[in-house]
Parts: sequence; structure tokens; C-alpha cells
Amino acid sequence: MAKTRRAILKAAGAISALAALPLPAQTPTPTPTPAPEKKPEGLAKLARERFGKFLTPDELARMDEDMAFVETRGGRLRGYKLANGEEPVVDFRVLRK
Amino acid sequence: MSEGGTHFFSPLRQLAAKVRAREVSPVALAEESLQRLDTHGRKLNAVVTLAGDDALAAAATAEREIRQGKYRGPLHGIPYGAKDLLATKKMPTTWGAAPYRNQQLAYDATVIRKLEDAGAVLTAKLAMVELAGGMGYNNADASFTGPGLNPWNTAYWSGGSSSGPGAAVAAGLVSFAIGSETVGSIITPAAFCGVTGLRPTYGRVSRHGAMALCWTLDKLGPLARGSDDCAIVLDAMSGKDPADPTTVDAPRPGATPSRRMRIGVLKGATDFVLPDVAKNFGESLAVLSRFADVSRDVALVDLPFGLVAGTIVDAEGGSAFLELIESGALRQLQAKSDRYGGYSSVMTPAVDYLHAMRLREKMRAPMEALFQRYDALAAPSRATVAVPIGIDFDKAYPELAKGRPANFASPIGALISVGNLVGWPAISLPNGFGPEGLPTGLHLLGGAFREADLAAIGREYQRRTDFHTRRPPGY
Repeated sequence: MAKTRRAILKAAGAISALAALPLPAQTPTPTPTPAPEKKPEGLAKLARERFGKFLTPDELARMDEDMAFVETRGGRLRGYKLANGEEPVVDFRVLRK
Repeated sequence: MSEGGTHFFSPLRQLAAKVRAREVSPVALAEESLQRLDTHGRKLNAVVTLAGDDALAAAATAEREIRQGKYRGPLHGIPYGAKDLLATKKMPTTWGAAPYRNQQLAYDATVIRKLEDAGAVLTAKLAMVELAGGMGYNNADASFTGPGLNPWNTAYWSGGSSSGPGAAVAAGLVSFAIGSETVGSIITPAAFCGVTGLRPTYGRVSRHGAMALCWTLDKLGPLARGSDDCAIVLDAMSGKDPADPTTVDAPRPGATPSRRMRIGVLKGATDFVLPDVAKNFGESLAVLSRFADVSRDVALVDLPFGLVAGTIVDAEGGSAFLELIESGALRQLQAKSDRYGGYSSVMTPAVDYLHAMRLREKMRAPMEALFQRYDALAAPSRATVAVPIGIDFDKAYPELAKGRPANFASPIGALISVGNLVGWPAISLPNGFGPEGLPTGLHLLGGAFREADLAAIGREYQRRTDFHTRRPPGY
């Protein structure tokens, strides 16, 4: 791995996109009444259902950020248009040797 | 025994000549390596398991063979260390991670076997970032053996994920070490520790018996004092292996090209780097210009290298460690971010992975076109010197963020990412020092199976500089 996987992504400018996403816990409120916590959606919701039992509240929040990043990253990747015939790097062989 | 490990700071050919001439005993070398690993190595958190009696027995065999005139080559009787993701039947293989700290595999990795065939003596399994960093660590404290400490300044990290190999070579605990790289794990510790690291072309070295993080990106390669040392070790490690169908027969890496090398310097290579990194890189280019044609401002094709690499590592790493991740055993990992990082890996959509693999294929043709004009591309190995222990990576060196555009794509990161994505070889050469007495590195990316070009450039560079011969104080 590089120094960190997310460092690579940060180098690509990807983390800045993540930082722009609204995070409910950080939303300032004008009154002492806390704002209702935004429910996780999309991948974060699915991830909480699968793995939430293993995590502390702080870790859950961080996992939500990671999931939001996965969605942002996917969107950015899909922003690079590819023609129908542009195949992935695969090396499937009928025979192993 | 040499004065304070002097043998392990010698060029391999020099030490090998002494071993062959029976001026230096392989048993004495192994004893010295074991002793230094047990003292300095433990303090640096660089050691997982010492080979002990097995190393001494192997050294005794080497000594006997040499005495009988059965000399195997330049690695015969030379002590080395292996990153603890290489399977060894006589020692545990921990992958740097607490859930595997008692893992005992029943076979030797092909690389271990090849080095044994060459007569090299394995003296230790060396520390690494847990699971080679596959869970997305953000702090040096990411191994059950503790954070890898830098021999040049123990308040700083030795780099990762091949933390132990970098530190053990830098501190003269072994003559060379084997590390692995998925996206930067040889280049980074080599740069941070002031040693030479050679990442081979994907397919040149068998991955059989190496922990899989990312099947299409993982490579094994040497870290050693100098470029020539790395070429010698790589020669012994290389070759087609029936146990790893991705290996190929390729020209031997040691052959020296006769032509004048052409080196392209990445455009913006010193944007937003530490001043010493920029200064040392400039001086390196001046040295390179004395024996190679150096062209400036070479641009890479505009593709999202970091996004593609990250997506592939997430998807393949998530699959490789699915059982661990789904079991909840990530809780046992050392780094806080590793305790939840794997969950986003396994949630990477298949379409994103395939899109990344399609974009990866798109990188091949422009890179091949670029290498019609150049034999190597150059950039600093890292934008900074080593990261301080105890500070999250994303909070270290905040001064570099001043004025940096939000969409800044680091050419340094891009060169590491694209080099690994196309599977081409790279070398990191020590090229000076920066803040806190910490080393900096020069990164050169070579063409597919052209390790000989990199080794030749490295040899010429190191004939004209002495950074690779420097010894950290106290070692």
C-alpha cells in the first residue's frame, strides 16, 4: 500500500469532495435544541445493517463518512466516459496454463 | 564480528567477495545479524520473529559449502530479512495483524525458497503495517508490533507498509530485506529510511506464499543499501513459477543497457513539497544530467490514477479479507481507522471496480507512448520526509496545504499510482536529507521489465553521490 489508501485518494483531490458532504453531527444550530440527526442513507444504511453491531457510535459515524466517500468516488469514476468496447484489465483464460 | 555491523553497510558485492574468500564467516554474519536485530531491531519495532537456530544452521551449511568450493553466488551466506507477509514453514507468518499473530503456514513462499537456493540466510521476519495497510490506516501505530520507528530519528515513522524492511536495512541489521508493494509500500519506506528500494514489474517475481491484498497490484521486491545490491537480489528472486500463473519469463533484470538513458521529469513534481525535498530533487536532476538526457515538464495523461488505484485496492482487498471483515475481528486491529475501514471496502460496487479496471486499461497505451521517448520518469519519492509518530498522516505537515487547490492532484502520488496500475518497475534512491535529519528519496519509474534501466541509472547516480552509504547515528 501507499502511505495510506486514503492518502492516495486525497492526492487525487477526492477527499475534498468528501469534506464537502453535509455531516449531521457537525451542522451548527441556532437554538440549544439539537437538530434531528440525519438518518444514514444509501450504502451507509446498508453498511450499518450489516456491520453496525461491530462498531461504536464514533466508528459508525466514521463508517458513514467512508460510505459517502465510496459513493462520491464512484460518481467521479463514472464521470470518465468509456466506450462500450473498452474492456477492463482482465486475464481470463480457459486453461490455467 | 565486524565493528558495529559494518558488514551490513557494505555493498553486497564487497561483502560477498569476502565471504567467498573466507575472510568473513557466514556464521559470524548470522550471529551478528541476529544480535543486532534483537537489540536495535526490537527497539525500532522492526522485528516480528527471529530465525535463531534455523538461521545459524543455514549459515553453517553455507560456510561448509563455501569451504568445500560449492559457491552459489553473491547471496551465499548473506543474512537477510523478510516482510512478515511471506510464508515460512519454520516461523509464524503474522501479516502484521493481531488476528494472525499465531498463524503457522506449512510451506515457504517461492521467494523464500529461491533465496534459500541462492544461499541467503533468513535471520528474521520483519514488521509491517497490519494487512499491508489494506484497511486504510491513517497513523504509524498500525501493527501489533508497534509503530515502525525510523533509525534516523525514532520520533518519526519508518514508512509503510514495509516498515521493518526499511528500518532493518537502514540500521544495518541485515544486508538486504524483502518488502512488498501494492501502491507505494516499497518506495515509501525506502525514501523515509534512506535506503534503495526496487519494485519489480508485476509478474517478474512470484507472489506464491505472499499475503494477498490485491492480486492485480501486489509485487515483491528488495530493499538494500544500493541499486547494485537490489539488482543482485532481484535476479535471485525472479522467474516464472508454476505456482503463480501471473509470472512470466522475462529478460534477466541485471543486464546493463549500453545506451544513454533518457529521463523525463514530471511536470509540477515539486509543487507543494517540503523545501528540502524540492532542493534535493533539483540537485538529483543535476547529477542525472551528467550521464543521462534529462527533459523537464513531462505530463502524464489526464486520468484519475488515485481514484482508480483506491477503488481496486478496496474491492480486491475487501474480497481478500472478507471473512475477517464479516467476522467483526477488525476490532483486534491496532489502528483505529482499520477497525472500520474494511467495511467500506466490501461495499465497493462491482460496477465501480470494473469501471476502475477499464480506466486502468486506458492508461496502458499513453504510458507506452511516453516510454517511446523516455527510459524513466522522475519525481521525488514522497512530498515530505517521514511522518511524526503519534500524528495522523492527514494532519502531518499542514504547511503544505497552504494555497494548495482543493482539486490538486499530486504528480508524486500520480507516479506511484500509475506505475503500480500499469505494473511497471520503479526504484527509490536516497538523495539527501531534510528536517530532523530525515532522508528524502528520488523516484524513477521504468518501462515494463526494464529493471536493468533503473538499476543502471541507480548505479551511475550512486557512483556520483554517497547518500546510500550514510549510516544513521547510533547504529
